[in-house]
Amino acid sequence: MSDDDDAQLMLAYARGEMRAFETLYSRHRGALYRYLTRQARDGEVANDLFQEVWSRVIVNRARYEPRAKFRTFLFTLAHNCFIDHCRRTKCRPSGMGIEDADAADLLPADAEQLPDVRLARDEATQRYRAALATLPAEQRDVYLLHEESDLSLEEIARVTGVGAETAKSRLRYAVGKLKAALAVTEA
Amino acid sequence: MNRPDDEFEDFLTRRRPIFSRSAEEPLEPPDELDRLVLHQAREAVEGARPQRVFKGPRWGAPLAVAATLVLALTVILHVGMPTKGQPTPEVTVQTVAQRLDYPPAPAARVPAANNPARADVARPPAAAPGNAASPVDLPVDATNAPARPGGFVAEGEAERYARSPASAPPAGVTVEDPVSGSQAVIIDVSPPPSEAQRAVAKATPPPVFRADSKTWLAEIERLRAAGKDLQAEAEYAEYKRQHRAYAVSPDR
Repeated sequence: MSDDDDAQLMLAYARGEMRAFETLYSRHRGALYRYLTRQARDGEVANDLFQEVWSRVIVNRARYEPRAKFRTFLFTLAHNCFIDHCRRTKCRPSGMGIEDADAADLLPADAEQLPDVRLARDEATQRYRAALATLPAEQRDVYLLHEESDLSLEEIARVTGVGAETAKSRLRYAVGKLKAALAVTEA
Repeated sequence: MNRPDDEFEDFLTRRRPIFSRSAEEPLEPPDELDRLVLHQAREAVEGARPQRVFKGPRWGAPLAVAATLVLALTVILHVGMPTKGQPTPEVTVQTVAQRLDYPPAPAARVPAANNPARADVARPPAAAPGNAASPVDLPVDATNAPARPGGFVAEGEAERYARSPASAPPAGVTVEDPVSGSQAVIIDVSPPPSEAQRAVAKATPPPVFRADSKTWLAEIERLRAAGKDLQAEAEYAEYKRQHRAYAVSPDR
């Protein structure tokens, strides 16, 4: 998957080629949805944010300029949508607990049907999500962007509006806390 | 043994994941959400395509414009220019209601003092239609109008006079406009008499009853009583002409 290709697809969609948008959408829908779901930790909110992000892509298609990667453009929109959502709902992005229903939704559909395997996977997922929920919002944002968007550290810094060193520091802290939290729960 | 920094650098460069769970979670948007987004994208593209308002052939619009122009030009030409078959109105309201300033009458031979047959020589000749030798430089409508004393008449009367010169009432007669129903008094504001007219007038002695106002008015009353309305009105008009300050007639 080439970033130049993504930019060309976006330009083609701006000219009216629906097929280009379908390709673009199929490439990025999963990563974007995971990022938003883990940020929002609410399935309904994640769905709304997901639709809003793509709406902004559609509306701004004529103003799109391939100066940066399309992926950077997409996740910048996603980051801003989530920040707007937090402002609208006056919620604090950090410190929210994970919901059990969300964890059940995250089960793999094609996982092995053996009960012990499923149980082990469920526990691992829940531990991971619980650890993720303990992270401060800025660190979680940088970590999820790194994990899901496949952006470089400089691009993550651009998306979040901070310097590259700040982004790297946040990522380092996030990784350290996650490791510590998972080690404690496993012990 | 790996140092934490090396482990983090590996994580940054994606050479080695710290947690293996992320890629394994098949977290995907629901199908309904996919349909919504794709439908919105398709609507945006299809709605943005400019739709032609005029769906006819390409030459249709220029042809319609040209046809409209030709039609408008034809109407303007037909309405704006008089046709040959349409008679030109001889007297218009403007030409009748307008005070005509006659130039000084040409020097005419003074006829014999007692020759009333020559009295009409000094009057402006009644210009017959098509008379090219107009004595005065007047507009065509005015020169073609029948000869009658100048003055102001109602609009409907003016047209009637233009059609039948014989029916023109004398000055001083109250006429009613058949069109508007308004009344107008024909007053004699004819141009000052020429030298020849004055000479004829001097040669003809005025009636005796004109010597005194009372007898003149009494004569007018007598004429009216005798049913000679035209004569009475003519005398009354002459009376008013000679007595400018006279405002109201005795019986009006």
